[in-house]
Amino acid sequence: MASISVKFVSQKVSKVRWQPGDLQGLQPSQTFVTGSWDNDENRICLWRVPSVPSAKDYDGYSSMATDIEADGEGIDKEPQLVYQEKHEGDVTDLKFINSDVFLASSSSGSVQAFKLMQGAQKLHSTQKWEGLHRLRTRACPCTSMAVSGTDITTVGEDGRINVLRLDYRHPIRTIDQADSSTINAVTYLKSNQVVTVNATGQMKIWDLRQPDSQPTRVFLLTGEKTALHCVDRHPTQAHLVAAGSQNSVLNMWDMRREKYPVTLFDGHEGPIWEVKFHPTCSDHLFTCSEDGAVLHWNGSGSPSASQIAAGAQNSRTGDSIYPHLGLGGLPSKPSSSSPTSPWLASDPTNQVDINHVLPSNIMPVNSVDVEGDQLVCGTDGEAVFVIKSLGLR
Amino acid sequence: MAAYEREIPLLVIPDADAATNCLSSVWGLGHKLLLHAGIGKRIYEHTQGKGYEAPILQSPPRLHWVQWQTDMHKPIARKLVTQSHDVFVALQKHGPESSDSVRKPQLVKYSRHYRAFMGECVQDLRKAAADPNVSREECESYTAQSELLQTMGLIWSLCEILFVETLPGGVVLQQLQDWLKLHFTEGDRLAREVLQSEDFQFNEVYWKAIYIYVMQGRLAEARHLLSTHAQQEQDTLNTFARMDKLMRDMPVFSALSRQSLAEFDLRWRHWQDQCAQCLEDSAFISYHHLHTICRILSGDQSVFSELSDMLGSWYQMLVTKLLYSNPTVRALDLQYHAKACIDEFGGSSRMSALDNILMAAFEFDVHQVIKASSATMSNWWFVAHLADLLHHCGKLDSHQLNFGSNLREFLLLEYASTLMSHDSLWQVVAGYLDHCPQFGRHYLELFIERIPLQSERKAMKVLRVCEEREMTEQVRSICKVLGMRSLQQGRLGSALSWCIRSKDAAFATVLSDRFLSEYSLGGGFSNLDLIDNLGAAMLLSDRLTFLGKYREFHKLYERGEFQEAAGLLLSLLTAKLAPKSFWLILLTDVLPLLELEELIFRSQQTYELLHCLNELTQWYSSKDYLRSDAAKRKTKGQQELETEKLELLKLGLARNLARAVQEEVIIS
Repeated sequence: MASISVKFVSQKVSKVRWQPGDLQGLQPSQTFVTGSWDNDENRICLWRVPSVPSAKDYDGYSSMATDIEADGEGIDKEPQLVYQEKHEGDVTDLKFINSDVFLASSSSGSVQAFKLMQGAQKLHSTQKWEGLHRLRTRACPCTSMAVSGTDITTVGEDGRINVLRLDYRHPIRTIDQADSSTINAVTYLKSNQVVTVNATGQMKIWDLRQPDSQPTRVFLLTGEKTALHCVDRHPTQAHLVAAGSQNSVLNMWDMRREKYPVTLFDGHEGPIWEVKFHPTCSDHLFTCSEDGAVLHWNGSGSPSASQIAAGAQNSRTGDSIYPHLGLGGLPSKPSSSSPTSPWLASDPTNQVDINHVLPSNIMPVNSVDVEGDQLVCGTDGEAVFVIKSLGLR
Repeated sequence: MAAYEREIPLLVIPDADAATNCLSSVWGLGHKLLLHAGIGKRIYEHTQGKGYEAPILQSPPRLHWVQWQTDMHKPIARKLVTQSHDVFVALQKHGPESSDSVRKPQLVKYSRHYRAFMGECVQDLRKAAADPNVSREECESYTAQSELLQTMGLIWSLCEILFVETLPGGVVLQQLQDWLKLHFTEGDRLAREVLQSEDFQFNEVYWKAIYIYVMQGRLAEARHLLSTHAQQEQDTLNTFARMDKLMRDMPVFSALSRQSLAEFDLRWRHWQDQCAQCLEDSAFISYHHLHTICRILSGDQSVFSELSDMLGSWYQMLVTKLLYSNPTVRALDLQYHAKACIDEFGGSSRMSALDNILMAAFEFDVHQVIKASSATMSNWWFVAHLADLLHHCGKLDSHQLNFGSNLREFLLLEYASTLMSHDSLWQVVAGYLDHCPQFGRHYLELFIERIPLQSERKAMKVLRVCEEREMTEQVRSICKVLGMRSLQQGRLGSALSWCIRSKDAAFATVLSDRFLSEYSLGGGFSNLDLIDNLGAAMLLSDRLTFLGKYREFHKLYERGEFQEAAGLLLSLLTAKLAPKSFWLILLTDVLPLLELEELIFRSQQTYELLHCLNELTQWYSSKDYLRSDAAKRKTKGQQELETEKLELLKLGLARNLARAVQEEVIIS
């Protein structure tokens, strides 16, 4: 069953990332990194989740109330701080290159590479690129990074795209006025091809081998031009791209079609800050938002088929408590109605089931990361939640 | 960190210039002041009558940030801040007043949450203080803060018993016993010490632990400790066994049991009669300690005075005394019994601030509790949350203060203000201000405009806070600030996107003009990705519409759709969307269309164009134009070029008219 543990970290968390586990999630990772923002002194922290499956249920705060006499029993089940390092400016993005090296981008426009040393006990800064993003003379935030092999693409509020390569001191490619507004997020579609989303609701595809500074394709939002904050690519179907917007809509584009998104998913009540396909179970998608919710979009169809049959039209309204998901008991079977991907279905409400992952959180959730059977997310309420045993199939 | 005595804090600003020029100050956010050596009184008097004279400073002036009440800013306390914020917000959803009993258990739960968080914070502080790496001052401040929090916890629990978790019948002793057990752990500490020591001795410590257990009414623990006594085994006279039996038999009243109060009273009296009988029989006379215990059990008043050192305080004595003389005492009667205990401990003159607060609680004087607590504790967290909780229990009557708001709101505002001076707690501040009906909104409006916006992400979050509360004025102002910032950095596109977001028509016009002047200076259009995809946002201002449409004309022209392009161009001119200064450029764009093989403008359209040309020529010679800056700045060469263009146009249009008329005649 899903078990939630929470750790208050006394700083607002902007990013969380699992260290990639071995064997594609068969050996789940127990280490994750977090970055803070909006603090007088920001930090990158390395955390370890105790290996014993936590039994501490986070239903409201009742478990904490019982802790008052138990002298903090259960503390050993929370994530433990292993190491922390000061960071200049807000941490705007974290990306692992391989299981030992990760990158941190900063609101001061720089990107720094860190290596996990001594069996993930320590961090060591190996390389730093300064002033990648700037306006005239002033530094300006780098907003997002994407990694493909040893190539790294960074984007920023200055509308610039930089391509870095590990161990090279200078960017190997820079597209100066790639966008007239802020680029909020970037991800690789395939090597040499990235997709960016910007503050005016545009999604652009860039071929990094092309010498000119024009995108190869531009996609637009339907309706009002609100900002897009995050983007992720379907792990196996490269033509599927999801992006979360300011007005709480999750847009799904099919790259094989022109311009406008194919499906719109409604579920959040605030800007979506991060969207993540599950790396191996690609029928599952996770989003987090300013409204304090982390949603699990389940497109596999099986676990809650009974719910849909019972006429639960909108799983958002009730308290869709998370553990229901794992209780399904139905074996995973190929969905009869959808030969294609659930994300492109004409009637998404019948195909995709929405569940709340954090039942009682009200503070904005800035980042979510999922790996194997476990999920981690960080909030402006200065808390890090680790959810184990998601029960995905 | 003065917990009990309020001293006036004194802070010396180490600035040499301040000695001669005095200090000037400017308010920062919340509890924050910016100080600098400035025009002091002495200088002012000196120069009076001679006009203003700038002070001469010895060195470049220094700025000093002064912050106070920053207890809650420390990393460990921030955990308490964020956790309690979550509970606070959840509590507000429960609505005020609570005459119905259904809501009570929930309120008790909230109260427990708050206490749990205080407890956690104390743990963390203790852990931090024990860390060998921290400096001595830090360690002291941690210790002081954890002591303060423990005091708060003590008061809070008592208030919870008396005001929140009121049981039917008003029998409170069981709860008070728990209160002592939770907060005065001396007995446990001693017991542990005895049990863990190598040479297990039945010394004074051993007995002290037992006494404390007995006086707190924790007879099970006392019996356990007593059972370890060595003489237990040679207890031929059954003295120990008898004591054990007495202790085991003591009836305990629980509000949840089915026992009636009268029934309990009867049983209890019977039990105490047995104790008194033992005392009379001198059953324990050979064991001095057991004898004392028996005196306690039978409620002998003199024994409490003898053991007052061990009791520690009047409120501990109060509970003990009532436990063994009047276990069914009602909450409302507590204050009368308290008086006697206070006298035992030196009378009211020797009461500390904490004693006064607790006494006020026993007297059910909620206002006095809060008043005394806010006067003596160095942070507002406690009083703000307590007042709010009591408000929700219906225990805090809305007492208007003479400066407008009620007590609860006043305290919440104060607490929020202490958080404002912290850089990153603004979301929490907003959460509290939301629930101050009278001034909260006003505070928030002023506060939110002053949050520094280092990145767009943060701006988005601040904007969301505003939008959720429909603070349109602030939304506009924030977007304007960000738009202007982009503009100054030369990023027109980004500026335009901010301006579209806040639907600021005037700013949109300014920006469109910038785009157009960029174009007319020969730079072409920048930020095409934005302008080409304006969509409905184009309608924000006339100038922006023109910009978008003009760009559309370019696209049509590039694609070779001349007919459509010409139609669009003409409509731009006739609908007067274009500024006059731009007309010549538009008309110049007509020229290549006139030279095409195919006839583009029909006669009617040509007339209209001629009319426009005429209007433009008139405008060029009008007084308005000649007086404007644009006219004055024009060089001779430019003027000649202009005239040439106008001539060319006249010629081109005339020829086109001829062609059009001819063709139209043929068709008809």
